[in-house]
Amino acid sequence: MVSEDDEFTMLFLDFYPSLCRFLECLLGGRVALAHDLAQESFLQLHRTAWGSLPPGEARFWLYRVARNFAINEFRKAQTRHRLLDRVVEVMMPRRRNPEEEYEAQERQELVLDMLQSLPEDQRTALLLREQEELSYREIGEVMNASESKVKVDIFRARTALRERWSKHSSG
Amino acid sequence: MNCDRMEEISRLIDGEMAPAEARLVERHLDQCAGCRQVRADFLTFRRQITNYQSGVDAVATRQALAKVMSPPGDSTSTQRRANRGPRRHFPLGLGQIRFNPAFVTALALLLTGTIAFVIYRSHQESRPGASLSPVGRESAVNSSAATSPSQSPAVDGSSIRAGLAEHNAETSNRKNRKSGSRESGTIKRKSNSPLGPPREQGPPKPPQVRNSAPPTYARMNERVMPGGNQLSLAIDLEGGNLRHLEQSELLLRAFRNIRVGRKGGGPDVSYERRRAQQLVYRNMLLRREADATGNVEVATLLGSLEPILLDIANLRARPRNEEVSVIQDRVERQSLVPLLQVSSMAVVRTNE
Repeated sequence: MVSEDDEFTMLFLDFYPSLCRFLECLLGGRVALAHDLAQESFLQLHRTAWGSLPPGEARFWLYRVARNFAINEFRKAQTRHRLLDRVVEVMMPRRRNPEEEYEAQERQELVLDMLQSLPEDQRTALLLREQEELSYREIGEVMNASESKVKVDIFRARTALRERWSKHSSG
Repeated sequence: MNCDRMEEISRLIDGEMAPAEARLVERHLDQCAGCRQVRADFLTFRRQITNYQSGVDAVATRQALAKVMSPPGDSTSTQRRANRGPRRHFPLGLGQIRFNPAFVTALALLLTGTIAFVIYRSHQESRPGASLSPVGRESAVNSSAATSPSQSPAVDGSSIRAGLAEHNAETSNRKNRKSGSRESGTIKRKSNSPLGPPREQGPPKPPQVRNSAPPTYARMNERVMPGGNQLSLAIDLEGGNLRHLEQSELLLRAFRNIRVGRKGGGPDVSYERRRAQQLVYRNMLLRREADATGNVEVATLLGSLEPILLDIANLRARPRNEEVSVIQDRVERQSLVPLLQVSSMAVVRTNE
């Protein structure tokens, strides 16, 4: 039989890396803070809600709490990273050269910068869709929003990213 | 591009579109280069976001897990939170106590109760036998075994206050006993409840003789007063309930985790069956007690637990898979495990 702690461990190993990735992208690459918040979310789950949540609900609970933690951080900082001028580079066709690894790192930073240009709710919805592959309904559950709002958020996020990319490409 | 179908393309690549509508959009994409470019751009963004590599690796994950699973008092897990979180920790030498409004409220109530008890005692000492007649005390003792409040004697305001004071003093005494201190001359809580083993650690008291000589103050302290009796009973009920709720939760968790679906021969449920047989009788007793004392929440919870326990107790040692699955489904559907956990946590907090 699987004990409660074993179940929690399995859940942790399954979702901690993806929760870290989600928070890193949401927070604009502040890795240490993202990991702190991910641990804080799991800690809350372990100490307060674990065992009282319906089966399958823990994942959504985690993302909801993690997002709230991140929003608190935004409120503290009251800053939003601006889109950098190098955005266009990230979307340019990949150039094969010996510095590919370095470029990959650069590209990663640019993805973060681009995401940071979006409003928080659009960014969260897009990340949950693309990285976590949640459905609109599930994203709505995490964000406490309707499916139609999620749909619009994701669409607007994509359109905004595309427009900025085109602007930089043409400019 | 003048198509204005970007929103549909967004839903299409997310798989959030009905098949018929998706076919229409796909057909349009075959003919419209602009929309194909939009889809390609959206998918490029998807790839970029998906390819993002987190800085966390397997070792860091294990370390984080250890940190999260560490006990609350562990400084490695709490130091960071204490530094930046809204929670407050006050170092008190014997570890850290988390600032908790409920704890403060309970402490305030305890202090108020203790003061009320002291005032009551000094009042009683100045006016011997003023608040309760021997008859009233005897009827109170007699009613301690009764399960229905309607059978208890009428209680006036002073005895209710006295009972409340006694309850608070009793709570205080119980805390003292937990910390190892023993005091003589304090009010003893009745330990003859059928709901669980007595929690008293001292030697058993001799049985009280009814209708004996008028009680002295010392003996009055050994008696149970009307209001205090009901409160003491409630505490006993909660203690019994707590153990029962925890044991039932463990049983249901074990039963829920039984693997079914193997072909040939059902699962072995002999342990769960035996445990349920032990618990079902106590469940009945506690439910009746809760009904009698008007504890609706506990009565409802135990009422929904009872048929499950009965069904598990009545299983064969090797039941068919379907028989187990049906009960497992009911346990899941009624969310009994989380309900039991929440309830036992509530009882623990009340007792604390």
